[in-house]
Amino acid sequence: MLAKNEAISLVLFLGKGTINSTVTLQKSVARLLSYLIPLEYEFKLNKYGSDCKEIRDMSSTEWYDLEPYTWKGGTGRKYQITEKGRQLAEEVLQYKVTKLLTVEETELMKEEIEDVASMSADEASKDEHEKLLVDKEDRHKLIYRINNVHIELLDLHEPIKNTEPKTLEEIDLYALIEYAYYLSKFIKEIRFKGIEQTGYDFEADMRDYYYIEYLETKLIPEIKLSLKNPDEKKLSKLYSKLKAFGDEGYKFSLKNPELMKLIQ
Amino acid sequence: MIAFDECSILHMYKFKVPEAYVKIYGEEITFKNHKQLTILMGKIKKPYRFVPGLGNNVHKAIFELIGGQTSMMANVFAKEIKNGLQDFLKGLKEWEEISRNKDCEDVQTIFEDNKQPLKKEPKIPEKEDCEIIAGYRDYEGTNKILISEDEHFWGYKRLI
Repeated sequence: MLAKNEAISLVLFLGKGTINSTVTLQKSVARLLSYLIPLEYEFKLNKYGSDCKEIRDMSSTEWYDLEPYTWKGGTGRKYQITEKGRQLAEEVLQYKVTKLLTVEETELMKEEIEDVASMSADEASKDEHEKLLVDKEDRHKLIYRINNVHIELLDLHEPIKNTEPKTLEEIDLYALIEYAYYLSKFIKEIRFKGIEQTGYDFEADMRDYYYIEYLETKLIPEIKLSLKNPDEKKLSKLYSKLKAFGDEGYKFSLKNPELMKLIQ
Repeated sequence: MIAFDECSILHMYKFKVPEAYVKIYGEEITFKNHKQLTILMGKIKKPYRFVPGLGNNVHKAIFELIGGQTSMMANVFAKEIKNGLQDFLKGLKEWEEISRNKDCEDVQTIFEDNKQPLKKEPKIPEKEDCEIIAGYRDYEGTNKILISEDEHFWGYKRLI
């Protein structure tokens, strides 16, 4: 899990040291959730997308400075990394991120955060809305995404359902497919049940959105690549990460004694 | 001097069942001879093991522990056991290590020349077993005892 100062330092570092608005900073930090990096910060949903009150209310620390400014009659805040923040960010990349992400994911994450960090508040907010499909107007896209993910994972799960894995690599591959498949089933049939009729979900557990986006854009392609040549280390990392993201208080978790009932 | 083959070491592992599976498997699962091995370990000051270990021993141990029982998310369950077994093996810091000796043709020849009518195929110890025998033979020490439940060792115990 990334602590608060680690998350802020990391996104500022990847964003070339400066982020010019609180909204952009929030979206940059929230983008870490797209890679299932667990954060100490908790995000809820407001009309601008993922929102974290603690980030909105934060002050300068030894790792980053806040500079208020006025612009077009309004006030904004600029966030600047300090030298200590840089060192912390490098350590986080070296010791924590490499444990959580594959090499390919790390490079993608760096590019993506750098990109988001350079956006204006409006651009970052719009970008996130398009990515997560949280708006009521995008419900049909979200439903399509959920159904598509579930069917893709069903197709991957079906051949391995009653097959005993023959190697340690196959154990990891089959477990990853199975976990992802049942997770998608849980999100489709329980978390987003009846979503066609619901309004903007201000009480959303953001993990539902981030999970389904991660399954579609990152995990399913990775599983398909692994089918011919499973890499035990990579698959094990992906599995651990998928599991750990739901460890604290998410109902789809091996820590939930009622999990088997939920997924039947 | 007491050395354990990898299967015996793996049988010392006790698996704490994740909460999601407790209603099916109970809170813990152990191997059949876990208790006896634990008692034996309590009497040994310095245990020995053979390195490097073999992946197929871990694979075999996983499905032995599951014991043919099925559940939903069975592959995930197997993965959880795999993680536990691998962490268990990594944690064996107090054990002395004996290198398996890949140069074991002389040992293989002795078994071939003295074939026994075992139930298990093949009827003579496999190369990995011969590497253990050769490694143990070459390791300095006296009063050597090998702990194993492999029929290849039991069937040839007088010869070994």
